[in-house]
Amino acid sequence: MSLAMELQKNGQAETFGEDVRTEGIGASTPDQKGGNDRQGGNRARGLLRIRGGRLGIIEILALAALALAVLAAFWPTLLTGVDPLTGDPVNRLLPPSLDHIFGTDHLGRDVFSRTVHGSAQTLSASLAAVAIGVISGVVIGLIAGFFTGVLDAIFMRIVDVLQAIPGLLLSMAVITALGFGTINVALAVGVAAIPSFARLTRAEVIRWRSAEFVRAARADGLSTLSVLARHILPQVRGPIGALVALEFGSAVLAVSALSFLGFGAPPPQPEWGLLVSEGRDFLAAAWWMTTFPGLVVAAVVLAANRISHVVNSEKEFR
Amino acid sequence: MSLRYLASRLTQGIIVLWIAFTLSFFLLYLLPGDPVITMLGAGGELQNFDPAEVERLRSEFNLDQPLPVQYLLALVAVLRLDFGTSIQTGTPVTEAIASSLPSTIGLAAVALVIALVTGAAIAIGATLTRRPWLRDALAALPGLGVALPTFWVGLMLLQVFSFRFPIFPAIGTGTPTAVILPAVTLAIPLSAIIAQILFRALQNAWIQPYVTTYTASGYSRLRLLLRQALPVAVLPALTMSGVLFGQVLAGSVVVENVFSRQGLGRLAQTAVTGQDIPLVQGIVLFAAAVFVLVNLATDLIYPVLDPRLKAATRNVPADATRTDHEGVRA
Amino acid sequence: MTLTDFLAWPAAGAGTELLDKPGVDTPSVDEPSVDEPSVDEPSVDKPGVDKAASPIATTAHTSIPAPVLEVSGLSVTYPREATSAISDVSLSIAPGGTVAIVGESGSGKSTTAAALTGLLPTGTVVHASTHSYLGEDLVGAKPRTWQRIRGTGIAYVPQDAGAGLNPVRTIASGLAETLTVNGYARPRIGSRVAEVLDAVGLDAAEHGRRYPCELSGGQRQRVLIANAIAADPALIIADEPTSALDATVQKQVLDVLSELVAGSSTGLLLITHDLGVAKERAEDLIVMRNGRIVEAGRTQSIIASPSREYTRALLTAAPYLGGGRLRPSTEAAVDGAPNEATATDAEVVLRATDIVRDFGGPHPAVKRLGVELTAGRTVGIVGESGSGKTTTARILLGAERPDAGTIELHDRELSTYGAKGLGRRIRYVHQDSSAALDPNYTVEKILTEPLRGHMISTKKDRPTRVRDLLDSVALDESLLGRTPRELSGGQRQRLAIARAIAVEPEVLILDEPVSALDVQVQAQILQLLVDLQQRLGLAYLFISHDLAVIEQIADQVLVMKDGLVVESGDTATVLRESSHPYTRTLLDAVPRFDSTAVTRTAVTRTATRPAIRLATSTGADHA
Repeated sequence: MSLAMELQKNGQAETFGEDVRTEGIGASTPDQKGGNDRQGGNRARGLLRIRGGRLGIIEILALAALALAVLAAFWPTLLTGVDPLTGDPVNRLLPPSLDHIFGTDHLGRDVFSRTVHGSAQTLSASLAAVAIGVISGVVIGLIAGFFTGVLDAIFMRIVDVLQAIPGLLLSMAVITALGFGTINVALAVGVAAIPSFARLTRAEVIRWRSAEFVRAARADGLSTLSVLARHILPQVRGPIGALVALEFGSAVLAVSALSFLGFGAPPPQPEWGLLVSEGRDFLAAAWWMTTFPGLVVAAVVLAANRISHVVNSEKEFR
Repeated sequence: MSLRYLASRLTQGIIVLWIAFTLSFFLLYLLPGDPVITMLGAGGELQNFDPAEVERLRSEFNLDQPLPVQYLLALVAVLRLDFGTSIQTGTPVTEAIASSLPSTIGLAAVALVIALVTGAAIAIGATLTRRPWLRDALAALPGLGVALPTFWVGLMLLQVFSFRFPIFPAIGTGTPTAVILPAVTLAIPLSAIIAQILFRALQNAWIQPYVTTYTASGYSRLRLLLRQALPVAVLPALTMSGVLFGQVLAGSVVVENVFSRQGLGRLAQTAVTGQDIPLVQGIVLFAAAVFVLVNLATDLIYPVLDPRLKAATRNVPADATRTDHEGVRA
Repeated sequence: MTLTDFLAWPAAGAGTELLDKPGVDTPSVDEPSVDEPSVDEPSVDKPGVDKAASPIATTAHTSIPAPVLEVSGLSVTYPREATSAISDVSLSIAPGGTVAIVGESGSGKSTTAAALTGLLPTGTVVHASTHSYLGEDLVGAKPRTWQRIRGTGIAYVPQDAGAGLNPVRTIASGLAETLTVNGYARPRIGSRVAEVLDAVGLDAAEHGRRYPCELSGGQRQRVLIANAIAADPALIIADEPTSALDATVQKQVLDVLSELVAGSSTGLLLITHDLGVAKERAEDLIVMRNGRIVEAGRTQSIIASPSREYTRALLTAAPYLGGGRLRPSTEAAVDGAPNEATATDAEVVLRATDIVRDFGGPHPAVKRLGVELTAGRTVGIVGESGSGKTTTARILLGAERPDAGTIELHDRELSTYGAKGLGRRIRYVHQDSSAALDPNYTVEKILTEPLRGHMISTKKDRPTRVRDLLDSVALDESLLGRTPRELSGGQRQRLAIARAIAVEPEVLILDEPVSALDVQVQAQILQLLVDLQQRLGLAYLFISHDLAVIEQIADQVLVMKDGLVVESGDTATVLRESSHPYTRTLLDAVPRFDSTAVTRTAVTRTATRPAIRLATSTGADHA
């Protein structure tokens, strides 16, 4: 192995703050390093790769934040007993206190309870959006990548177009056609997520389609479909998983932005974007009405991005 | 750069625009039932439409024609840059877009400058520093920047710099300082994207063997970065400029709403709120055209900056066509 | 102006500060790494490498010129690694002298080069009792010190992996910048660029304005050398400078380096995996293994009489010309030629005639090629990159259609067999085993797949068959659950061979199957192939750039150049009596050992072979 390669390896490890990569560099995988290779392989197959041998505190926090968000979405009453819709006119615009940790709004409703109950709408819309993006994107990508030619050209031009229009504008166009509401917002955000999944899947399929071990599998007598299912899909799974987490974060942002603009659920409903929007008129008087729901959105997005990063580096490691 | 290359790029861009038109046409005019009812419905009176008004709109949008005729009529109109008239205001769509553009361009220009400077500074700083904690901190910033909801950041800035400490005006486009807060808001996700792309490209360039070559020739770290790694790293960053412009447009929708500014984003929002189909289609096609043009420009500049592409498109000396991959040994 | 003139040193600004501080030879400020006891005590017979002595004090005043570089007790531990990458490395390079470090991958030779140029990643723990460059102490030197010494003092020639030069800068502008960095005034730069390009055999006017992608590999390597010598260094460290190059180009580049150093006072440290290169180019030799020096001394004496077992094993395994074809290991004791008689009347399995394939390049990829593969025999194709040998392999495999010509498998046109039928009869072994094996599959799954795909044996019998296959390539059953990444390179290649023979094919096409492997592993794999051929009666098509490897395995050889077979025939005859100029060039480019060394190793080769094979049958290729 040349010095340049060795430096590259260690330099990479150094700059990314991750383990020293013992992965062989293609043909030059050294025999003597077999022991190291083995070690790396075992680690990569672990449930969650932990960077630098230390327990990734940030990853654990990210997982905890996502778990909390899911809990809030499905069992909101576990986190708060206060009704999100009924206000108490006496307790209007109260700053955060032990009774109301996020304060109360202009109608005396508990902001924390509204945030907790809002997660159901926002998160399920985001999840639905990602599901739409993944399913359509991966199907398009698989077809385009595996059956080159006319199908590929047609699909990819459509994907080009979807990508040429900024995601938020594309979602807004879909909403114009479908009308307002959480379900339509989910659909609109999902459509905007298709191109990235389609492109990634296609790129990965094309990359692995000509891989030497895939050629070998054909020589081993496997049919086209078996090759796709047994050798190519397992390779594509990892990168897609990373993109799912990343796109989930973007979907949360897009869904709450659309609901902030007033395209989501109508006002009494608690939706994260809507909560922030409700607080606009009280910026000077009640900072907590905008600050806390916004922070929750940021926390969930950050957590999703972090998880994506972990999944992604595990992919690179492989 | 050959004419053929130029022609093929141009054709591709035109095809993308044509498909964009076709998709938006079918989405907006055909999908959810009767667009005239949709447009009138958004006007307020949900129950009783004036049948004469419905008919008038129907024939104005050629909806009384068979589908292929509708499509062709619309396509011909678009080729003449006629996107119809806005339902809400009655002004031609092109005029509405043109009049809202200057304000958004001003905002976008300031935001892009801020984003380029901070984004590049973060990426270069993170690559250059020898202190691991500083590098980690700088490298984490872009991740934070893309995770913050833009509308929320705008409101937070307003809260602090307009209400708590009245430094900048809260709303409007009156004073020159009024552009600062919206531009910063818009610049945060932009700079995060720029920093992320550039940092990754610099990291990638930094581990290339040629950096080792020049390090061993006595180059300083700063010189290596600025003269060797950066010229290579800006190339992949350049290809993202189309996405960046799209991000500016999308961001302006939220930012102009938060800061009550006039502009293209604001126009888009009111168009969607009023289900003003011609206006929405016009804005979508405009955004697609901007993207196509920016990408076209990138495609044309790229081979000039990257000799590897130039070599691929032009005749290379015969002795350089040989590859050495076969003899590689450990 | 001669080469010697402009390599004279000390150059301005280099090595002028003789920091002769007493007491600085205490170890670096870094915490010393785990100092492992030396298991294999190196035999060092080099003068002036006495660890205890202070070399600065002793050598500075003797009549022998002071060494350019003096290192002792050097050890390096990478960040977050438990064990050190190298330990207790000592060497000394005299002005004008050439020292070679030879070792297999993982031996620590590249780490040594990095340590000597200060190019180790931050956080690496370096420890040395002496590290002096022209008397200047470099133990624990600051980055700024290194920056001053690099270029003007110590220069580095990396292996060009195609990316050793900035892709967006022209050759001349890159060299000019290196000169600027090293303090050359602007008016002198232009002429100096022309000088150094001239010195490496390139033309400033023609090549200077080109980009790296517009040069061939050999030319790029020359530019890297030009970049290294630009600022008159006192020492050049060349790390595998020619490993990625074709043999003929390799010789030219090495000649350039040798000429530059010869007669000048510039020292050269040559890092290589190739004993032949070291033997031809260096006066002093250091053999490294597992991060330690195994043996060091004059090259001649080490080659002639290695004192260490490892060095002897390296010499034995090193491919050389004149050893003849390998014999099956079972016949090692039996005297006489391998079954010549049976081989000649064996039937022709695959016959290709007048094959043409043209991709539209300057010349056809393959031109009027004819080849006959016979059961139990090997045809070798030798050629440099771009000669068309891989295209030939792909055509014979049925993966690529020829533009003209016929290929017959058992007198039946190849295309009539169908993909599946061909996949069973003709199998392919790729150079890069890690790319050829699905990283997600275990050894067992990899070997089961062809059995299932071609419906060989019943589901119940397959596990047994898989074990038999492993056994036939001398891999242990305990590896069944491993993934390819958890195997060594040699084990992976054995696995790839096992997969190839799993379906009982008739033809094996082997495309550079050993060129990614260390010499010792390479020798084992070649022996395995010879044994398998004898047992299974396979027809081999063996592709290699290495004449020495071809000699060991091929009965017949085709020499290819630019898509054309320039010479063919019986391997021994072609290699010994060839009159074709191109074949002669290839032969001349192969580094050679002394005739004495050759005879020595020729004797040991047959004797030690079975022992090595037995040692590996437990599954470990680590020699």
